[in-house]
Amino acid sequence: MMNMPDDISFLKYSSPAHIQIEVKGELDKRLSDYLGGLEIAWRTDRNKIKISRLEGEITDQTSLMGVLNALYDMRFPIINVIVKQ
Amino acid sequence: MISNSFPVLLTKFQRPSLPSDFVPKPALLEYVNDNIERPLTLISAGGGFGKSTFVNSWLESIPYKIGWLSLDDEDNDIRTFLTYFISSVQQAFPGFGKTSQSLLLSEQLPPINVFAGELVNDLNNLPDRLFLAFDDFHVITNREIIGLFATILKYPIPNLHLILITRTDPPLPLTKLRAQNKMKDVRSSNLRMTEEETKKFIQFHIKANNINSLVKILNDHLEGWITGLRLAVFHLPFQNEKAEDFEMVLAKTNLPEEYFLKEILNNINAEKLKFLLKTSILQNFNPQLSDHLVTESDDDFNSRIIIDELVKKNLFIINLDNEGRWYRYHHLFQSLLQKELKKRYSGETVVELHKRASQWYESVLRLEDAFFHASQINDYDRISELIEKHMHTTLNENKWYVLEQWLKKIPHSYIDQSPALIIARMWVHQHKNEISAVAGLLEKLENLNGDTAPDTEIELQKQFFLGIILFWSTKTEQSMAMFDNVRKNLSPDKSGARSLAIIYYAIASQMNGTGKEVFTEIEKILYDSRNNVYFQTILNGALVYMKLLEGELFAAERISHQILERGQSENDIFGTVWGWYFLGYIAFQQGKYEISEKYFSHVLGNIYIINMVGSVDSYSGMMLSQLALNKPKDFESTLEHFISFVKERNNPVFRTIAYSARARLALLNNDIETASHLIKLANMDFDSGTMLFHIEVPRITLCRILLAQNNPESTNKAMGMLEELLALAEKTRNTPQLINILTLLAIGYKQKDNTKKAVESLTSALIIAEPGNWIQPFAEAGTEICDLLPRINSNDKTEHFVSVLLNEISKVHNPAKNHPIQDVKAQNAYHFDPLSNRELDVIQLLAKRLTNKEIAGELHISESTVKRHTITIYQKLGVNKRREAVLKAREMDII
Repeated sequence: MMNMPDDISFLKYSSPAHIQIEVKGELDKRLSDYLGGLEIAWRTDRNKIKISRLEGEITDQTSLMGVLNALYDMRFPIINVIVKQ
Repeated sequence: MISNSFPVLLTKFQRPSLPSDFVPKPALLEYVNDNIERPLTLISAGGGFGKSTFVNSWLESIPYKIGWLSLDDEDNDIRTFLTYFISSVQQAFPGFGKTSQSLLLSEQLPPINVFAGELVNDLNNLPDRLFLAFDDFHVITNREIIGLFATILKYPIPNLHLILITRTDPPLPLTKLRAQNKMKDVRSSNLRMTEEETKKFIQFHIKANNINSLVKILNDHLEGWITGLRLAVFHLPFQNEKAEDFEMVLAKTNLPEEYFLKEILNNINAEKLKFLLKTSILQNFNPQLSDHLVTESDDDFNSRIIIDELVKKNLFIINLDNEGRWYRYHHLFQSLLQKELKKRYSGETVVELHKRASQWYESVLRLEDAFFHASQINDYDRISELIEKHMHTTLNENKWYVLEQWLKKIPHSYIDQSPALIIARMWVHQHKNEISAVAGLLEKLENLNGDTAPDTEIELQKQFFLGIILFWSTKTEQSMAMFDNVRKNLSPDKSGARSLAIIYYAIASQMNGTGKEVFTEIEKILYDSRNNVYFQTILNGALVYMKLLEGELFAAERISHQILERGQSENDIFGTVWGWYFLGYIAFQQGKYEISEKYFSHVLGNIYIINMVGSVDSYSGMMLSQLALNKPKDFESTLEHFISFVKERNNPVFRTIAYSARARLALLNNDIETASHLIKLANMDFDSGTMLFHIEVPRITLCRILLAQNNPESTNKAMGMLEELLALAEKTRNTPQLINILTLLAIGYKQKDNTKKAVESLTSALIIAEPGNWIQPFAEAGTEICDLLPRINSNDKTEHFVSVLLNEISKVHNPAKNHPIQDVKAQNAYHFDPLSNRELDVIQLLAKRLTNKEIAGELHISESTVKRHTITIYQKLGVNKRREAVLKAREMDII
């Protein structure tokens, strides 16, 4: 589920990172405020299932955990989390 | 009278004190002090970064009032949380939040938006600036609580600065708050120790000259993590490792804390080790409790010495009260210590420790903690024992919801095996007005009995509930004997249970014609006793019930004034609101609509204080009063509140009353079509058996509407029902409903051209109505009886009463005719097949976005049954999809 970039030396507990999260279902774009300000976009996969993609900069791991917890509480199944450089 | 609805744990309000090796962070202080007027500071970082310590150092440096609350899992219960929230503000402003706190004491807990409104109101009146910190906010998962914070932050309160200390970012609209400059973040990057600070910290502990390489290694590996540093410095003196060796150790491990901790544990003496491991199961502790836990057989353990040493070294524990009484472990260490405990001791020992803790807490009456430790080891025997021993303490204080919480700690299958626990559940249902659930449990109890010797107290309580079932199924005479026996023989320490038996006994005896003696007897108890205010209100309330059923409104009014006056002078909101309700009811029945509107509006402002029956009746009375006073705007607003109030409660009995009340109001607006549709939505299965004096009785409203339809078939149907109701009301000496029924019968006879019988009925109604000056039943019948009134065979008394009535009817009749008052939502409810109760359950869960499988789980039915229900729902609502069904149902005001 967690995809890794090739080089993770930049990544620290307290440092910012660019991330992309995909969840199953259509996430209301107004929720961005509650999800670390990540930008929300939609797409459908080949089985026509709606997928929401959240992307953007997170401050640190604490903020990432907050986003994941919120998605979990809203019952959106998480497909993947990608950390980008 | 106003006190906390739950016992509060004072230690939760204590800020942890600053450790002696604390390294100040002036730059960070400057950062948080900038724009300090903002409403929120979020302190968000992982465990062990010194979040709480930093906030504490900040709070100590500013000249404002401070409130502090350390949260734990148990605070996810909304009532518990709110109790602590208010109490934490009261640490700074002792008189704070009387209104919101009174809501917490209410029989029915109001929905969160109502509560939030009150709380925001109270907070807006803070006399001075307050910094309110919530530690460990990440444990809060209850969405209602999070929502409360969102509301508070949406319209910031001038004098309130919230500080949320958490390990993960909370689901609040943080991006927006940041953009609006309403918050500041303090994160791990701000809290981490710089190399300079690390150096200062190490120098405080280790007196060595060349520590630079050590500082660098620690800083690189621990990323300024203060807890890691602290463990490291305590580890170092034991090992005397060289800096390079040390680096190797750190490089090898992902969890340095675990490594350090093991090293420390391996190097301390057996006594200390025993203490640390055994007390690690405690949420917080003091020396006495620790001694109780750690002591084996006859050796005397002295926890105080060990605690003092740990405090001195700033190791593992945090002092909670600045007085050296209560402590807790740092969470991070606690979980590590618990891991070690499980490794080094047997499972039985751990169980034994929790048992001992539970006993100790019970002995000091900290029951929530006693329950906590029993729950930790799933010791249902122990939980049952605690409930059995303490359930009546909660009932005596009218805090049945505490008992309800306790019962949630054991599985139903377990409860079903224990007579005492079944009884406890019945008490909860009785308080929630769920009589059918009581009947089901009574059956279970019946099946359980047999091989064990009966316990007298259990038998008596069982008898009370048997009495309840008999009473509501119109067998009031048989029920009376049971209530009598219970009130006389139930042990005096069960005063809550006994007072209910007294009320029911009083009502049943009134209904059976022996009310006079019982009335005198209760008056005597009231006169003799120095009972608490609550008990006095209950007893006085019983007297009012009796007088209302007897039709003696003037006597009832006198007692109601006493209840109100006592309530107001003793600052007892429970008595005050009941007093208002009774006085509103009496004024309404006497046609004094201005006065009834005033009292009912007081009740509606405190709607959650009295029980559901009282609140629904107040809404009915309020709307009828406003209709009579021809106040369309006010009426519409009351109606809207009423609809959402009943919707929140989601109880079929009250849903039925609500539809019926709306049907009656439509009828009074001459809108027979809407009335007929609305009354169809009222499920009459939920209005059967014994009637009390309430304003809205769906069965009677149904008769009103049938009569208004005025065709032979509907009139016959109404007359058949009214005859039955008449017999029931006569049997139970129910004067209020007798007046209504007799008046309606008169209309029915008139429609059947039987004037003689019509006049007879109306005369009987007048004779019993006159002493109490009951105007409303006749005023409501209006022109239908105008031509009958002059034909009454009158004596002096009734002659005067008839002229009063004719005058009243001319005044109040149909003021709405020229300005029709509309139940707008009712228009949407036209032409559809009402949903069954099961279907209503299903659609409510659909609205919560649950899947069929989840719904099946919630309702304990199969998935295919859920599917079947959804198909029927689609058909009835004329839709094809679940979202459409939910939208349609909302639009039609079904959910």
